[in-house]
Amino acid sequence: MPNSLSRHPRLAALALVTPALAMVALFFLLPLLASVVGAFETPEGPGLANFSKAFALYSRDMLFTLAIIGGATLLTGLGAVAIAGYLTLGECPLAVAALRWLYRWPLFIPFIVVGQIARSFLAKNGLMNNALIGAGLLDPLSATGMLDWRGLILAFAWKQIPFVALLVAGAMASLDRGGIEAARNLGASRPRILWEILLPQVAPSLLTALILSFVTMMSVLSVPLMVASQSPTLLTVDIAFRINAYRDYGLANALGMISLAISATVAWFYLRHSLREKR
Amino acid sequence: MDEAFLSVDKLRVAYGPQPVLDELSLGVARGEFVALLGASGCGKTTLLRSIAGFIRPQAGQIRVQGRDVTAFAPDARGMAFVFQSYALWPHMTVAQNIGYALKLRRTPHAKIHQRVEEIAAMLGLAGLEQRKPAALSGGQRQRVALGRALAADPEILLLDEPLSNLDARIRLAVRHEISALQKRLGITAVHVTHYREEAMIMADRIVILDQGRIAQAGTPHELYNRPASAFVAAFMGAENAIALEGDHADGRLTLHSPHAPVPCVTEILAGACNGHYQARFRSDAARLVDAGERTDGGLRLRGLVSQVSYPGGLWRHAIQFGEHTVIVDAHEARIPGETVDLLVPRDRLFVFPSAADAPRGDTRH
Repeated sequence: MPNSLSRHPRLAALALVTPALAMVALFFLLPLLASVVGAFETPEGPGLANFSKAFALYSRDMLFTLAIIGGATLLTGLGAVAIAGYLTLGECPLAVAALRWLYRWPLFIPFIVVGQIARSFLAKNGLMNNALIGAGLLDPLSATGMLDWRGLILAFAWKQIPFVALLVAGAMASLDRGGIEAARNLGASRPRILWEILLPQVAPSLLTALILSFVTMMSVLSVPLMVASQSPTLLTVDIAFRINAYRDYGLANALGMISLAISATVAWFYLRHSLREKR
Repeated sequence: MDEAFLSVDKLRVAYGPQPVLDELSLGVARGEFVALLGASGCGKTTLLRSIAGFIRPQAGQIRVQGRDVTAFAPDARGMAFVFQSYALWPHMTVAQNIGYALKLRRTPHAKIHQRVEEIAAMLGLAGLEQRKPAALSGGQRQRVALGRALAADPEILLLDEPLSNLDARIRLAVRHEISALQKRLGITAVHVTHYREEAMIMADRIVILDQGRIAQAGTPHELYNRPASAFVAAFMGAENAIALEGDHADGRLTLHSPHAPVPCVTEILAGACNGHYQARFRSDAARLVDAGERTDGGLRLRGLVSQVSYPGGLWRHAIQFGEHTVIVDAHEARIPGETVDLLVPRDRLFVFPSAADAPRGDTRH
């Protein structure tokens, strides 16, 4: 029958996609849903008690998280643009090759190791201060550690710059070299070419990479645990603490929802921007 | 070389061990339009990019009005470059693209606006100033690229195949526009192309490049009618090639072929000797005559009509002599299979010693 024949390929397609769909539903959507439901569960039945408690106890950490991750994203953007810009516009082939070889290393270093590196480098008696004191640039008595908000921002940026630089440098490499040469031919300096010619053209890639970085950094527990776990700290530490110390899944879920909301807001800004670009 | 406005002196550029330009020297007079013509990979774009300052030569000098600019940055040479891809900045409007050079020079906004309007009007872009390049046609983009270069008020305009991305029909019009504009503004221009006709129409002088050297330089008329080598002759459209044997005696060169019922005698210039020669001629240079018809002078060859077609205007015949096939255009069609003689007048026949016997660059006809 023609009718069943035409329906047949659709069934086959459905059968093919079912395992993947099941995977997504079972391992991604279901836990997310459980976490969302869990955020509203209280001993007194469904309600907003977990959220009001979260805001009462951790609103300072929420702002701190926003500031740290925002600051780290900004620094990541600056560092990545500087690296990608030099890779694209650099005129010393040796320096470009060395930078190309070096800059990607942190990509292959796990966050926990990044935390450890930051700790041993930025502590009061860490490598950086020791080197500065050894070089006579720092008075041993005035040495202070940077294992606070500064350490967090530096560690996050250190880990994320290569990722963003990789995407941005790729986008820059795919641009017409003629555009760069035309600007040079008319007398534009390299910083100006980077700012006025390259950046506007790779802005979508830069934004995407920064948003992915932002969301990644929002979810990192090891770095704040290693570098700065005293108050104020990042939401991930609070979530872990609520679960490990109190088995308070309700509040932990509520905090999780709040970080999800922060990430979603950033993603929404991006989507709105990219839609406007397309129009 | 006497000092030209733009002079290139013994320029050597190599990518790796392979030289792309080999001690190349060239002079361009002020206000002259020079076309660099050659096949892909002959070094014409490399030469242009070296002049512009995008490529640092290994040796040699580039001078503008006697001043050595070899080590100068691209923007310090008073040259503007028009790219094959146009290289317009897609995020800027037409006005921003054209006005960018002036913005870099911190020209006041009002002046930039005025100059952009002038250039847009001159190039037929009026009304499009606020468009982005993506909303323009190929021809319009090309004109924006030209306008961007001209806004910088350059003394020398460097054009890297600026027409190759245009439709054939638009290309014909833009050729004339560019050369008329160049004459009107009095700018010195160096134009890279691999289209002979484009070079002939646009340029005052054509420089034919072959493997990083100048094969011949001259006016379009000189190159067309007095090619210095078989390479130049072929490039100038003399695609038909015949191998001949030459005897040199009493200041004459007598050319023989098993397909020539009578030998062809030419006046001979210096350097000729007995041996192998190559004769080249254009398809419209030869005339088809009946085997019995008497003719005087020139090269006469007897062959077989193997194919006839009509591309328009003239009938195109493929004539076969042993393993050679030549193309001859004639007013009247012959019948395939017919035996005909073709006659190339002496003044339209280019004869060169075959490569093995040849002193380089020898010429005669």
